[in-house]
Amino acid sequence: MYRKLVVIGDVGAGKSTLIRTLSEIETVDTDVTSSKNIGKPLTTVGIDYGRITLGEGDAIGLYGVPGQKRYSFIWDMVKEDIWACILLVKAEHLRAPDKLIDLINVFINDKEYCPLAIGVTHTDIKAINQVVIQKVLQEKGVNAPVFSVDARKKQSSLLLLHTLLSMHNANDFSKRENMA
Amino acid sequence: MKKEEINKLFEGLLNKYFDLKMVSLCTSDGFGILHQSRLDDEVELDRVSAITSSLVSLGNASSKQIIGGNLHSTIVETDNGNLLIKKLKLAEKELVLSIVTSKKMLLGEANYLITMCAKNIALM
Ligand SMILES: Nc1nc2c(ncn2[C@@H]2O[C@H](COP(=O)(O)OP(=O)(O)O)[C@@H](O)[C@H]2O)c(=O)[nH]1
Ligand SMILES: [Mg+2]
Repeated sequence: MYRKLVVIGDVGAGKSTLIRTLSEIETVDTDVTSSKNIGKPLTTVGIDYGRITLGEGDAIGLYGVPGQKRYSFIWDMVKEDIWACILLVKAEHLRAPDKLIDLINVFINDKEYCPLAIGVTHTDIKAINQVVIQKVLQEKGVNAPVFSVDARKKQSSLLLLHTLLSMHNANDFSKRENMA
Repeated sequence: MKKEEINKLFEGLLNKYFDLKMVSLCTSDGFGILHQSRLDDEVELDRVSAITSSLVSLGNASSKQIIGGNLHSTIVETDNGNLLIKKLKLAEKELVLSIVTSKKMLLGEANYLITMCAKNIALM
């Protein structure tokens, strides 16, 4: 089975880094020099693609998409048949939560089951109460587990992946229970 | 940036080559700078910029990871005409130039046209 995992989030949240950290292949990297001051030298203009093999014929494809609206043609390319979604938020800001919700909805709307896990990055630089982020999103109708992660670290990044696998397992289990 | 000069260059090209349908310049991270078009369906500069910057970055990834060597251009061929995209540098800034030509213009000619155009801009 091939599962599509999409990573979304603000510019600089760590999407490209997370995919590089998790991928077992050299990632397809479309970072270029940023012409505006966005707090980092590089920005992603295409797609980040990486891959994780789980077992024979069983793999997860990692797709990082730029969050800027003008790249919505990439959202359209990626949004079909998504298995799960990771939202990365930089600890310094939860800028424009409505935009994030819209972005989330592009990917997980209309899906029968598509779990979402939220990673708050850069918490080593700025401590932030994750519950606050969780609450803001909850008020907008998005219920998802929130973790503090460092996208540069493998163990930390894997936490998000394991959470999504568990959420799928739990969902499969309850589906079976209901049928019995 | 020499916007005026580039605009004039674009205008001159569109006047000279009837089969040139669009010329567009943006930054390598997809912000539009200049755009002239006589396509039937007018496209917005923002959209062209986002798409061409993505394609160039993927062309770059292909040249690095599959072919090896430096990227010259990224080409999209359709039955309605061709889109050619090229990276260039102006005043230390990475830019992306793209043109759309009708199917009447041969790919080689289109490639020559965008190469000349890129050279002219880089000299400004
Ligand atoms: N200090 C710190 N830096 C991080 C963390 N996660 C990512 N980064 C860095 O943040 C920068 C931006 O990350 P990037 O992956 O380009 O963000 P993107 O725009 O979401 O793709 C990179 O330099 C990363 O190394 C984190 O948890 N802590
Ligand atoms: Mg990125």
